[in-house]
Amino acid sequence: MHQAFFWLRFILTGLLWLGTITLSISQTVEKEKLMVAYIYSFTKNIEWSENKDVFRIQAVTNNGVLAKELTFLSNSEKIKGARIEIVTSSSSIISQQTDLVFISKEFNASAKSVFDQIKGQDILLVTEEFRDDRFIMINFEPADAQTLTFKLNRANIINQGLKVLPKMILLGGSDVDVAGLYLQAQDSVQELEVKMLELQSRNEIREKSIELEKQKKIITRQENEIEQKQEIIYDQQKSLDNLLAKYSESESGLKDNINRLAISENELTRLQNEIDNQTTQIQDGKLILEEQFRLIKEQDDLIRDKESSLDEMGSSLNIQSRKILLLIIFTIVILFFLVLLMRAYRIRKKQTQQLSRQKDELSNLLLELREAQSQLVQSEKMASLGVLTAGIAHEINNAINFVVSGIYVLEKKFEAIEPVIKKVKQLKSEDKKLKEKVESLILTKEKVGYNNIQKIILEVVKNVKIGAERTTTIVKGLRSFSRSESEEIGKIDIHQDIEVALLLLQNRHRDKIEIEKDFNLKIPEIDGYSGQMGQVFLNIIGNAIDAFEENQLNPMIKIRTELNKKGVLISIKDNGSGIDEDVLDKIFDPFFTTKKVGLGTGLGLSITYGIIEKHKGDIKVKSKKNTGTEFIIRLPLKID
Amino acid sequence: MIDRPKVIYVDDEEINLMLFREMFKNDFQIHTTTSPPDAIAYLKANRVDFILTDQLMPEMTGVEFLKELDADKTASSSKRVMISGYTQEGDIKEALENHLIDRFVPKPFTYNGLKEIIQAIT
Repeated sequence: MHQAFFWLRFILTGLLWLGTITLSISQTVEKEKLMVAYIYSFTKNIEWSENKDVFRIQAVTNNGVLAKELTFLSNSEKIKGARIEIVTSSSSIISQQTDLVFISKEFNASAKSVFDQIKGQDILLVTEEFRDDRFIMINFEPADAQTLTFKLNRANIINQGLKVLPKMILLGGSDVDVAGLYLQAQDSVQELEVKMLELQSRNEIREKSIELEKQKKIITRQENEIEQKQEIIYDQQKSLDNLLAKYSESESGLKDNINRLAISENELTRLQNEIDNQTTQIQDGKLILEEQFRLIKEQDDLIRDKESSLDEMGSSLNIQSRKILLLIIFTIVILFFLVLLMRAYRIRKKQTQQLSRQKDELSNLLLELREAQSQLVQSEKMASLGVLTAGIAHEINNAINFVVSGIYVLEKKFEAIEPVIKKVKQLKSEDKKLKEKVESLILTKEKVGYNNIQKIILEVVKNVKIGAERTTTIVKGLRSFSRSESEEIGKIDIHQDIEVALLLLQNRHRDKIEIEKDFNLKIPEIDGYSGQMGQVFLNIIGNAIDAFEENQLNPMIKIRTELNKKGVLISIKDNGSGIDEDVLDKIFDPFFTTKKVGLGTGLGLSITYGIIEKHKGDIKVKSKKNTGTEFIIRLPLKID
Repeated sequence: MIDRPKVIYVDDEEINLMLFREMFKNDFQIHTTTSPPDAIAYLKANRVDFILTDQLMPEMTGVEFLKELDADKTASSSKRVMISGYTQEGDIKEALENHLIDRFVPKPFTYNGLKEIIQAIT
């Protein structure tokens, strides 16, 4: 479309340049010769853009004569001093160095493409009998053999950058008819419009076809669906067919059954008839049977009569045999019991003997046990004494040391004051030098430090006394404690026993543990085995001392005695580490100990328990971990 | 007076200390105490020739007291004598074998007996 409009505009501008030139050829030369001559003339009347060495003419032609004429021209003539070079071809491809192109009429079909090809370059196009004036520069018009005219389209030539010289008019020929050109242009416009319409309709068709395509697709989809549905229908049809087949099968089966039924009905009828026949036969038989039954009954009666007489005889026999059987069983049972009795008697006799033997053994054992027990008590006592020995020995030795050292010191001190004593002895009341002597005595006293020595002597004497008393008490306590067990009940002083225990334990509690005594002094001597109660207090107070940890704060043992209606109560309470709850019920068990091996026998509390029991008293323990333990002993005043 | 050897005597019985002071006041320069910790403190500050100690004491035994001295290397040059009524032979033997003590003097002791023993180790 654009191209078409371009050409239209081009032509309309070209109209301004159009004039009419007619050239008549009067010479009697051949047309081709004439055409070459004209072409030569055209070159002379065009102002070329530059001076050339070679002027190239390309002839697109099959006309041999023309080619020959052109070659002749090139050999004989020059264009503006330039040598002429001729290229003949039957192709419409134009070489770049070409200055003039001639297209003979047989190649008019390609004229327009050549025009387009060279457009804007300084190449002149000469055509022969080309009908479209829009695309000509110089065109030879159709004519008879004798005349030759040409048509000129100046606008196209100028467009090539060439200039038509005024002398060109002298060659004859005509300019292109402007009106005709316009009409031609209009025609081509109309043609183009028609083409446009065509194209439009083609577009519509394309759109329509696109829509058609869409609808085709929809149709295809629907067809697919239809196909699927048809498949389903086909499947259903198939199953329907199957069902029908089955139906017909069962129908035929039914028919068969009906047939069989009919047959069996017939058979049944036949059998019925037979049964009827047999029934009549049976009825006949029944009658015969009844007759026979009657006969049998008669015979039965006869037999029964005989049986009853037989029964009578049998029953009397039966009773007798049962009696005999019972008698036999009874005898056997009695015999069995007799045997059992005999055996039991024997066993019992044996058992009695065994029992009395065991009793003897037991009483022997008991005696042994008692002996062992008293030995054990004594052993334990000695063992606990053994544990105490080192401490007791230390106490005694210390006490004796007071005496021994004290006597030595006293000796020395008396030696020191001997001069004073001497002087005192020499004093006589009638002495005339009494005053002098007294003064000398005073001097001597001062010299020996008599006053100080006297103080020391008094103190040492006191210490010697302490030593002697301590020794006496310890020995007394030891004696009362270690006294061997007496089997006779005597009188015991519990306070004295407590004191002995404290004394024996002295080195373990003195300066370490506060002992608080709260004694009821109204308590009389009570019944008891001498030497045993001391062991009880030694064990309990000894355990209390052991219950204190190294870092115990204010360790204290409270010993309290009470007198009440039932007798005496002794409480020994410490604020030590206490006894674990899980072992509290085991502490009186023999050999139970929480002390390290070698530090306790495990018998102390067990023996204590035994001693209290022997005195008809009881002992109880209350303990709380990290708070302390209290032993409470109750003893009657008298043992019955 | 300056020539008299220095002695410390540790015993929990004040009577023993008093009697010892009276017996030996002409022989030694005597320091006495009933408390082993006090004795340790004294020995850290004062040099003595003899350390005399009891074995059975409530705060600390004589052996424990001497071991504590050894641990600090306190009074390592002093001669050590144990004076005790304690008669556990084994313990004393062990202490002698370990050179914890130089001599053992049983109670009751006499002036001459103790003096001889002390002189023997000088």
